[in-house]
Formats: sequence, structure tokens, C-alpha cells
Amino acid sequence: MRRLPRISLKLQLGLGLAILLTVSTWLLSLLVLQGIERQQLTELEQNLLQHSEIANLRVRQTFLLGERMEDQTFLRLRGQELAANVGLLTGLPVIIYDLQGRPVGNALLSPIDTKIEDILSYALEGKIVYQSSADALDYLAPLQGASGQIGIVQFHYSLSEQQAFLKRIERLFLVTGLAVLMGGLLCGTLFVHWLTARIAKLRNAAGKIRGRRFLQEKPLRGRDELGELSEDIYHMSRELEGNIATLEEEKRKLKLAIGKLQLLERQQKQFIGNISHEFKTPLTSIKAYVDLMDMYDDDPGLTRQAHTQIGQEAQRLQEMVEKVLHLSSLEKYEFEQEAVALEMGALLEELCERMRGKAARHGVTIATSLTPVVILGDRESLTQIFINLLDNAIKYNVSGGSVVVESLEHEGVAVLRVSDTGIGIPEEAKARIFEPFYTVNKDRSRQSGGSGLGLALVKETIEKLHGELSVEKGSGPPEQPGSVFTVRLPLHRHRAEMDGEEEAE
Amino acid sequence: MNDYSNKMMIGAAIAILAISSTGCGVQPQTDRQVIDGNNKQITVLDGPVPGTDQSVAVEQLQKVPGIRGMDWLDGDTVLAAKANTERTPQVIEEKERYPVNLVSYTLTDGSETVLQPADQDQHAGMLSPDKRFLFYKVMEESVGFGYLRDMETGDIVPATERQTPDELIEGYEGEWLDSEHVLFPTMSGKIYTANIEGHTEMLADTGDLTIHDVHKIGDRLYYIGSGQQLFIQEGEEPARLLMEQVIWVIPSPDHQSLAMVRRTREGEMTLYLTDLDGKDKAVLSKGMQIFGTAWSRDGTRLAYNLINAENGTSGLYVADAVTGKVTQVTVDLEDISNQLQWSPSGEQLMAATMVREGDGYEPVTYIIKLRS
Repeated sequence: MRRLPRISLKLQLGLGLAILLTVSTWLLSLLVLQGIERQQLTELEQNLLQHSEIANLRVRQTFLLGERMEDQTFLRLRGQELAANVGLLTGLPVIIYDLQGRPVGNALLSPIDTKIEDILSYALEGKIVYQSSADALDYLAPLQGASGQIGIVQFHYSLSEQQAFLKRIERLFLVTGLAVLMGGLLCGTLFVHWLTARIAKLRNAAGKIRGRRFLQEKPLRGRDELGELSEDIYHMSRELEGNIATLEEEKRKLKLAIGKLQLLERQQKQFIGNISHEFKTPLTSIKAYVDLMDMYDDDPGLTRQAHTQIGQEAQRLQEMVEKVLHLSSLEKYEFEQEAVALEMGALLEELCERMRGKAARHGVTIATSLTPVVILGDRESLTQIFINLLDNAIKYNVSGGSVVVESLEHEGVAVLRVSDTGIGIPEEAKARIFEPFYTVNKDRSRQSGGSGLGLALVKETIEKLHGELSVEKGSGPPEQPGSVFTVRLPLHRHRAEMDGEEEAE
Repeated sequence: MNDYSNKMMIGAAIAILAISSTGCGVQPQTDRQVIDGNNKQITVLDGPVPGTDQSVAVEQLQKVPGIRGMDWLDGDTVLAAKANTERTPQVIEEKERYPVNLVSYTLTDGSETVLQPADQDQHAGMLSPDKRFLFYKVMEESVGFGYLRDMETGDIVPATERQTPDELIEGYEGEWLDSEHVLFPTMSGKIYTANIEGHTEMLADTGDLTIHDVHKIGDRLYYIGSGQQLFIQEGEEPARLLMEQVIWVIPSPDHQSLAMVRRTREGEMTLYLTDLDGKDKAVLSKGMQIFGTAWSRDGTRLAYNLINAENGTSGLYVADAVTGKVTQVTVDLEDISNQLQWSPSGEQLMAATMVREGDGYEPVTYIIKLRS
């Protein structure tokens, strides 16, 4: 779209102002001059009318005072005297005429050459008439006698004074008009400059906003519409700025959320993948035995084995389901169970007792070195943790091996240790053992019934208890170093403090 | 909405411009006819023509030399003062001066009768409303003692009980209150009434030796004191100052208004019509000097003398007391020095003056008959 040529505001205003000033000054002078002229004429007419009244009175008076005679005779006889008299009274050149239009008296200081034939007829009809040229005016009025008009009186009035006056005024208007015009234009221009400067400031501000350089302060101050506009523009700029910042923030949060969701999705996919894999294995085994049973239903040995294996696999499945559920529930809810003060020494003693049976079956002995130590936690979770650890310690042990369980207070924390004399954990696997479904040796774990979920769960639970779980190599020989799982938990009295801090956060 | 108001404003602006450029205070020039010729312009006016105003116009003008008219006895006879050549003249500075006696002069034939021949200057004759009595003064210079004369019997009584310098009355001061009483101020600042039997009563003692223009309306006494101040004394109350700069005050015949001449400016006097408290009702005339103001007997007109710098406008004027319309009656008729006198019928005006004659002054009286 082709833009129309730009006519700046300064030009518009300036031009408009110039035209307005010129026109109004010119119009003013014109009207005033016209008015003066009109006024002069009116005054002149009034003046001359009064003079003719005086002339009438004088003529009449003279007539009445003198001896009675016919009025035309009287005029002819006394006309000169009358003209002189009236001339004296009025201060104007006077000519008196009789009813024939013949001059009977002449009181002119100097002869005038105006021809009044054209207007004489009007005056003889009894009307007032005057003839004006550029520099003089001749005024004719009827003279009345006892019974009607007896003659005419003429006044000669020089207009030169009036004309001179008009010319002076005209010149005055021209000069002052120009001066006023110049002055007005100058002031007008200054004013226009000032105004357009303010508008330009606003325009710049708008341009800045357009370029995303938001305003830090009001572009203009003032108590008029421009000031208000400036406030509004500034307000809009701030709003815009704020909105954009908010949008950016929202965008960032959304990205974060999307990222998390994507991660979660991936984890869940992986999780589901793992679960189905883990579930498939025991199910395959169960199905295998069922098939075998189908085929060899009369083999008691097989039946017994199948019974045992299916039972074990079923048990494993159930444990897995419970573990998954537990994990899931842990992620959803925070500590639902009530946290109480637990004396770990006693608890561990109890758990060891429960596991001694299983240990014996594996040919493992459990030794304890327990001192009383009190933490804040729920019994269930702690039981889960240590059953798990004990279970692992037994499972990944060797026949004739041992498990040592310790509990003590050290440097302000509760230290709970489970050591085994088993196969140990390879260095590279140390970091990964806490991942869900990770097993160091898949076959081995299957053999011992491990699902791979245990440690992940244990770590999570311990962390929820504000504790730490670490694993180190044991002190056994290189081909059987064993592992040491250490659980550190805050002591009960410290836990109370930590909870307070947590809530404050 | 905005568009509409904009258009309105533009329309209004154009209208104003148009009106102002064409109109601009011009009287509708319907009373003329303009003809443009070569180099000149002829204008014929349709309005009133001079000298045709019928309301007040002079029908007759009579000049009576040698007498100084003072009052009207009737429509044809006037009371005047005239030098009585039948008496013994005084010789002053080698000139003969005859005593001035009051005469009754008949305008129609010029016959005259000396009322009271005497070797004294009789002046300021004023006739009572019923014309049966005459109040006049015997003058020494410009002051004299007052006398009352029965016009029928010719009996004379003094107007004051004593005749000391305190009882001297100035020039033309005094007036008839009714057909039996006169009112006058004396040089001592006292104001008296006297009845036709010569019984005098003092109404006020102003203590102002320059009081003049004394009038009585009801129980109000008006007088002008020193420094052109108009005082009013009501009943028993002390006199109070009513107004300043008052030159003359002349009550109307019906005692409802005052004609008042005040100095309004240096070199300007104004004739006002006011109420009895001096409040202006109308301005009748302005001039350098206004004097001799007289009400017509029916109270409808005021006649006065006006002198202006422009000679043409000096002369006798008649003002209509109702409409305020002022008409010039004569132009520059010498210098009328006396109070103008309306004839009983109101058709005639008498104006007396002194004109220079040789190296002295001679009286002249004009009788102006107005068109009715």
C-alpha cells in the first residue's frame, strides 16, 4: 500500500494559523473602516440637517421681524444678508436659492465649481438631496416660509478632512495589522512548536513500545488531553510489559511441565515395560508347570515340584504387585502413616528373629550388634526397608555365610547397617542398583526370587524419612567381598526440628 | 454526534462572518435613494424636511424697542419698565438718565400708561395670579425695597414692616404664593411672606446673605444658598442640603415637579426635570448657559434661553414637559437677559433684553407668537 505524502502537524497548524490570522486581521480592518465611513456619513447627515434647521429658523425670524412682503421678494432682497448670516452661524459656505432655482445669496469664501443642476430639481420638490464627489459634498435643503417652501439653502462641505482621516486610519490598520500579524504568527509558531514537540514525544513513546522497548516513565507531563494520553500510553506500556512477562513465565512453566510430563511418560513406559517383563517371567514358569502337569499328571514328583514352584512364583507375583502398588502409592501420597518415635534396636532385633528361618534355609546366620537408638518414623516403612535389606543380604549370600545387623548413634545420626558376606556388587552397578527393576545379575535374582524393585523402594522410603542409603564393598576376599548397606536416619529429637523447618518452607 | 456538532460550528462561523461583513450596525437605509453618476453620487433623503415641524413654530415676531417687558396683564397688554422721559432726569457722567417707571403697554397699538410716575427706578414688577396686585421694587443699583400695589385703586403698601438694609431685596427675587401673598428673600438672609395689606411674617432666617431663588411648595421652602447649594426647609425642621451645583430651580405650576438648571461640568449647564426631592426625571437640554426658564401656565411647556459655543444653536427654546422634545424657536436673538414670560393663554412668549445702543444699553422686548 503506497502511503500518502506526509504533511507534518507543524505545517498544518502553522499554515492554518497564518491563514486565520491574516483573514481575521484583514476582515477586521475592512469592517472597521466600513463602519467608520458609515458613521462619518451618518454624523454628516445629522449635522447638515441641523444646519438646515437653523437656516430655516433664521430665515423665518428675519422674515417675521421685517416688514411684511411677498416671500420671493423678501428672499431676493435679503438673500445675501441671510446667506452671510447663515454662513456665519454654521461656518459653512452657503448659497440660498429662490423657488425658481436662482441663487439669491452667496456666502462662499471661494467660488466652487460644483454643478448642482442635477439635484436642484429634487430640492425644488421639497426633498433633501446631496451630491457627493471624491472631496466635497453639496447639500440642498428646502427653506420653509409661512405657507410652504420658499426656496433652497445649499451647504458646501469639504470632505477632505474626512478622507484624510480615513486614509490615516487605513494606513494605521495596515501598519499595525502587519505588526500584529507578524507578532501573532511568531507567537503562533512558537506555540505550534511547543505543541508538536509534545505530540512528537508521544509518538516516540509509541514507537518505543512498538519496538518492545517498554517505557520506564511517563513520556509527557501536563494537565491537558496530551498529558492524559501520555498517562494512558505509559499505562498500556506497563500492562503490555507485564502481560508479556507473564506470558513468558507461563511459557517457561509450561515447558517445564511438558518436560516433566514427557519424562514421566518415558518413566512410566519404561516402568510398564519392566513390569510386564517381570510379570511375564513367573507367569511363563507357572504356565510351564501347568503344561507339564497336563502332560504328566501321574508323576507325583513332578506334581510336588510343580506345587512348590507354582506356589513360589505366585508368591513372587503377589509380592511384586504389592511392591508396585506401594511404590505407586508412595509417589502419590506423602506420609500417610503416623510417624512415631521408634526404637530401632528393638525393631531390628525383632526383624532378625523373623528372618532367621529363611536365613537358616539358605545356610546363613544372622548376627546382631544393636544399641538403642530412637528415630521418628512409621513402623511399616521401616519394617519394609529392613526386611528388604535383610532379604537381599540373605539372598545374595553364600551357604555358610553370615549377615551382620548393627544399630548405633554416631555424630548425631542413627546409623543402621546390614552387612553380608555375599557376592558383592560390582563397582559399575553401584549407582544403578537403586533403579526400579534393575538387578545386577538377572538370573541370580530369579533364582533367589528377587524382583528388582526392592532397593528402589527402600531408597525412596529412606529418603522420605529424610535419611540416606549407601552401599559399600564389604571386607571379604576379592571373589566374595560382600556388601555393606548403611542407612542413616536423623534422630528423633533432630527430626522434630527438621519438620519445623520443612513446614516453614 | 461529533460530526454533527462540527458541522453546526462551521455553519455558525460562516453565518457570523457573513452577517458581520454585510450588516455590522448599519441602519436599514430604506429612507433614501442613491443614484450613482459619473464621478459623483446623488443621495435623495426621504425623511423629515427641516422647518416643517408644526408642534412649535414662530408665527409672529414683534420687536418692541425701549421697554423691558416683565409680565402680562392680558393677551394684548404687558407690564414693562420704561424710562419715563416726563420726569426729571439725573445727569450722570454728562448723560441724562431718566428714572425707570413701570408702565402698562398695549402691544396692538403701542399705547402705554405709566402706573406710578415717580422719580425712582421701579423694577421687577410681578403681577398676582389674578392680576389685581403688583409686587415691585424700588431700586438703588441692583437692590431695592419691595412694595405691593393695588392695580385698581393704585394704593401702595410696603412689603416689609421696616426698611433697613436688612430688608433690601435683590433684583428679581420673590414670587406670588397666591393671589394675596408674596414670598421673598432679603439681603440679610431672611425669608418673608407679606400679604396685600403689608402684613409681613418671617418664615426663615437662613443666615446666608446670598440666598436667591426662593420658592414655597406646601410647607416646603426651597432656596439656593451660597456656593450653588439647594436647601430645603420643611415645616419646623431645620433646613437641609438637597443638592449641590444648582443654579436655578423653578417649580412647575401644578407644584408636582421642578425645573432645575445644574452645572454639570466646566462650561456646561443642564436643564433637568425633577421631582420635588430633586430626583431626575428627565434631561431636557444641555448648553454653555441656560437661563430665564419659565413654565407655561398650564405646565406643559418650558421656555428657556440657551447659549452655546456654536452660534447657530444659541437662542430661545421650548421644551415639551411631557415628551421631552426640544425645539429651537429663535436663533441667536441677542442676549435675552430676563426671565421669559408666557402670556396667560400660553400662545405668546415675552423675552426682554438690553442691546447696545451707541455707548450705552437700551432695552428691547420681543413678543413671540407661537403657532398653536
